[in-house]
Amino acid sequence: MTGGALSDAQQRLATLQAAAASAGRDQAIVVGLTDASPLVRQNAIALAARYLTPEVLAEFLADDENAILRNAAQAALERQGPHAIPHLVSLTQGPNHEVAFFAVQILSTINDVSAKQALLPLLDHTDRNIAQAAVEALGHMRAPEAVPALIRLLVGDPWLQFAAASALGRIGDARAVGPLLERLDDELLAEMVVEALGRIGDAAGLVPLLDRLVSSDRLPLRDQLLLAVAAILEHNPGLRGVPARARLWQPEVRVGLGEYLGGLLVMHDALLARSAGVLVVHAELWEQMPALLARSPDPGEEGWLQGMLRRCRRRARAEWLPLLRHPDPRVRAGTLLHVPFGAGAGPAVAACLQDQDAEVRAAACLALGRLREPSAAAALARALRSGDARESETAARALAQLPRKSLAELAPDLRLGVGEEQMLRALAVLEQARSTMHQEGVRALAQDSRPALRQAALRVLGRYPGHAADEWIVAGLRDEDTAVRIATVEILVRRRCRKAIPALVELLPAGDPLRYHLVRALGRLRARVAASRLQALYGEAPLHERIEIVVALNQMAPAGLLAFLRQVLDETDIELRRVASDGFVRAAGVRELDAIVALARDSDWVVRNHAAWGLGRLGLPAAKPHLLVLARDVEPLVARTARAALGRLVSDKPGLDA
Amino acid sequence: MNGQFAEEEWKLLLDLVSREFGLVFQDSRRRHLESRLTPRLRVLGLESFGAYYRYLARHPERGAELRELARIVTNNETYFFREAHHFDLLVQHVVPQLFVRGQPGSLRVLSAGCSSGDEAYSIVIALQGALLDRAGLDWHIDACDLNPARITQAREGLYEAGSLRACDELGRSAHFSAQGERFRLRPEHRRGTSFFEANLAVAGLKLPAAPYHVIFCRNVLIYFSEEAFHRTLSHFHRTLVAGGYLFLGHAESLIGRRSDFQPVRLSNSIVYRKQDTGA
Repeated sequence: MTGGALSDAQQRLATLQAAAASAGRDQAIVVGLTDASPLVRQNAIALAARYLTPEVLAEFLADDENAILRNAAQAALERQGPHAIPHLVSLTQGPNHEVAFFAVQILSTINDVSAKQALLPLLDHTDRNIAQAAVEALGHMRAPEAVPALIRLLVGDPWLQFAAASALGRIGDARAVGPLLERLDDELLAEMVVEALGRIGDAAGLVPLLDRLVSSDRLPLRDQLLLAVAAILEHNPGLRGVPARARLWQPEVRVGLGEYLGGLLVMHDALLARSAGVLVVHAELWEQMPALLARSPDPGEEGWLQGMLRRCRRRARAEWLPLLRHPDPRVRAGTLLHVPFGAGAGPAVAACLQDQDAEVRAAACLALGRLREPSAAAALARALRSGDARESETAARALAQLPRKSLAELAPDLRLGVGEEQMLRALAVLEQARSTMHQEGVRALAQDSRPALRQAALRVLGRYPGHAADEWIVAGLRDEDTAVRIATVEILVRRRCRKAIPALVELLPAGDPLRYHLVRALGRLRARVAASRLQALYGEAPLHERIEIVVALNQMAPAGLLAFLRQVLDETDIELRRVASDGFVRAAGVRELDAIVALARDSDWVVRNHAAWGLGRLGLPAAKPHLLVLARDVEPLVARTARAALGRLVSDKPGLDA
Repeated sequence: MNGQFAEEEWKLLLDLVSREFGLVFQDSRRRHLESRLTPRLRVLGLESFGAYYRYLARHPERGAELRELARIVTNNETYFFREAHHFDLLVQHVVPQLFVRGQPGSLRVLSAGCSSGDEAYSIVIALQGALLDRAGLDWHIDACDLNPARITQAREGLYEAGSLRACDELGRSAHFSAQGERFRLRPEHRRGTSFFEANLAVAGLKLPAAPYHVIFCRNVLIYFSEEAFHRTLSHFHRTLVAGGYLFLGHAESLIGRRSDFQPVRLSNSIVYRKQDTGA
C-alpha cells in the first residue's frame, strides 16, 4: 500500500539506490525484491539482474513459500539473458522439477538460439508440466528443429496435444499442415488446430478449412475458420481466387455464407470484418461488395482493400457502375477510392465531382488522379480553386499525378492579381508533381513581396531536376524573412546541393535562429570543409548549437574528430556527452577499446548504450566480458543492444562460456 | 543518433514526455504518436525524432514546443455527461452530506484534466438541474488541463455533435443553442466555472480555489506513470477538505494502491473519500 506511505516508498527506493554502490549491496537488493511497492521492486529486479549471480537468483526460484521473491527472481533472470543461460540449462536437468519448470519458462522468454538444443530432449520429460513448458518454449522460439517431435505429440499425451498444435502454428512450418488437418475432427483440439493452420498460412490447408467453414454452425469455431482461411488467402497472393473444387462454389451454400460474411462486415471487430472482406473478394460474393466498400473509410483499411480488389480486377471493372450509383455515399466513395477502374471510366468518375457528398467528391478527385485522366484536368483545377479544404487537397494530389501537360490548367492561378491562397494551392501542385511548367511565374513568385509565396515558390524550384535551379534557390539564403531563409536551407539539404556549402559556411557568423539550421545542414551535407569552422564556433556557441555542432561533426567524420570528442565527453551537460559518445563509438578503432570500456561504465544509460553498440562494432573477443556485463544492464534497452552486439562477436555462442 | 539508435531516440522522447507531463505511452501507441509528431518535425525543419528530442531538451524555444507537445499527447476525447451516474451521485449523495439544504454554502470542485470543459459544465448543469442554486448553494468549479488548445475550447463553449452524444434531444435544446453544425453552451451553464492550464504531474502545483470539497479526475490517471500517479494523488489529498470526495473513471481504482483514500460505495458506484492520515 502507498499513499500516506508514499514518502516511505520513495525513501526505500533512495536507500536501495544508494546501497547499490555500497558494501551491503546484495543484501539490500534481496530485501528490495520483496518490497511492498512495485516501484521499489522493479528497481531491485533491475539491480539484481545486474549484480546478483544466476546461482543466487535461482535459489529464490526454489522458495515456494515466498511467491513475490520467486517472481522477482524470475524477472531478474529473464533480464540477465545470455549470462543466465548456462545455469538455467543445468537447472532444467536437475532433480527439482518445479525449478526446472521455471527455468524452461525463463529460457523461453530469453529466447536465445543457444538454448534450443537443450530444450529439445525435454519434450519427452516424464514431468508433463516440464514437457509442456518445453513445447511452449520451442514454439515461442520458432524452432523448426522441433517440428517432427511436436507432430508426434499431436497424437500423444492429450495433456500436450493442445500446446503442440499451438507451437506448430507459431513455428509456421508447412510440414505440420497434413498432421494438423488430420486432427480437425477432434472437438477439443479443433479451434487450436484451425488457428495453427492459419498461422502457418500454407495453401494446402485452404480447401479443407473452407469446406469446414461452409458447413460449420458452431460460432466460435466458424469465426476461427474464417480467420484462418483469410490468413491463408492473404499469405498466398499468387492464389487467384478460391479453387473450383471448394464446396463454397455450390449455390446451396453461397447464400448462407454470404449472410454470415455480410453480418461480419458491419461489425466493429476489425479483424473479423477484414477476414470477411478477404473471402468476399476471393469467393466473388459480389452482393456483399457494397457492405465491404462502405467500410473503406476505416483508418488503415484503404491500402489493404485496394490490394484485395486488384485480385478480382476483371470482375470489379465490369461491375463498378452500379456501385458508383449506390444510394449510400460511403459505398460510392469506397468504390471511387478502391476499385481499379479501367480505360473509359473517366467521364463517369468525373461526374462524381458533382456529387452532393463532400467525401464522394474528394474520392472522385483521387480516382481521377489514379486514372491519370488528362480530360479531368480542368474539373480538378476548379475543385482545387473552389472546393472545401479536403476536396482542394485531394484535387492537388490528383493534378500532380496527371500527365505533365495537364498542369497548363494552372496558368490562371499563377497570374498577377490572383489571391495568395489560390497561388499557394497551385504551387503545392507543382511541387508535388515535380513539374518545371510555369517556370517564369514560379521564379517571379520566388521574389514576391509575400513571404509565404516566396517560400512555396522556392519549394517548387527545389524539386527541379539537375542543378539549373540551384542558384535561384541559393538566393533564398539572402531573403529578408528568417522563415524563408530556414526553409531554403532545408531545400538545399534535400537537394544534396553541395554547391551551396560555401554560402552556408559564409552565413555561420549570423547570430539569428538561422545558425542552428546551418550547422545541422552542414552536417547532413557531410561538408567536411566546414569542420574547422564548426570546431572554432563550438567554444562561443550557445548550448543547443554546441550539441548540433557535435552531431554535425559526427556526420562529417573529419580528421581529429576523436580528440575533439574526448574533450566534449568531459563536459558536464548530459546531452553534449550523449551526442559525443555516439560519434566516438562510430569513429573509434581498436586503439579506443579502453575508452569505450570506460563509456560502458558511465552513469548515463544512453552513453552505455552507445558503448554497447561500439563494442559490437569493433567485434573484438576482448569486448565480450564487458558486453556480458552490459547485457545485464539495469536499462533494458542497453541490455538488448549488448545482446545484439554479442551476436556479432567472433564467438558464436554468447553466454555459454561466460 | 539515427539508424540503429531509433529505439534509443524513441525512449528518450517517451522519458521526456513522462518527466514533463507524467504520461506513459505503451509501445502499441508508437505509430499513432509518431504520425502525430511528424508534422511538428516539418514545422521545425527537423529531420529525425532524435533532432526533435534534442530540440525539446535544450533549445531556447523548448518551452513553446513543450506546449505543442502537450497538445499532441493529451488530445483525449470526452463528452458531456460521460459516466452520467457520477453527476447524480454528486447532487444526491455528496452535496447533501457536505451542505445543509436551504442554508447558504459554497461548494468548491476541481475538474482535473478537464479537456474541453464537458465535465465541468456537466457538473454545473447537474447542480442547476437539482435546483441547488435556489436552495442556497453557491459553487466554484476550477477546471484545468495540460492542453492549452483544450482550455481555449472550454472557454469558448462551442462543441461538435459528438460531445453531446450522451444528451437526449431535450437536453440538447435545453442546454445548447445550435450554431451551424455545432452547439454553443447556454451562458447560464458557465456560472461559477474557471478554466486554466495546469500540469497535474508537476510538484508544487498551485490550485486557486483549494481546498476543494470534490475532485473529478476521470480517465486521466490511467495515462500516468507510477510516479506521476502517486504525486498527483498526494496532491489531491492535500487539496481536498477533510472528508472530501474524489471521483475517478470506471477503469481506475485506488484499492490496494493508496491507503489515504477510502473507497466508498454510493449507489452502485465506488468513489473515494479522503482519509485523514495525520501525515
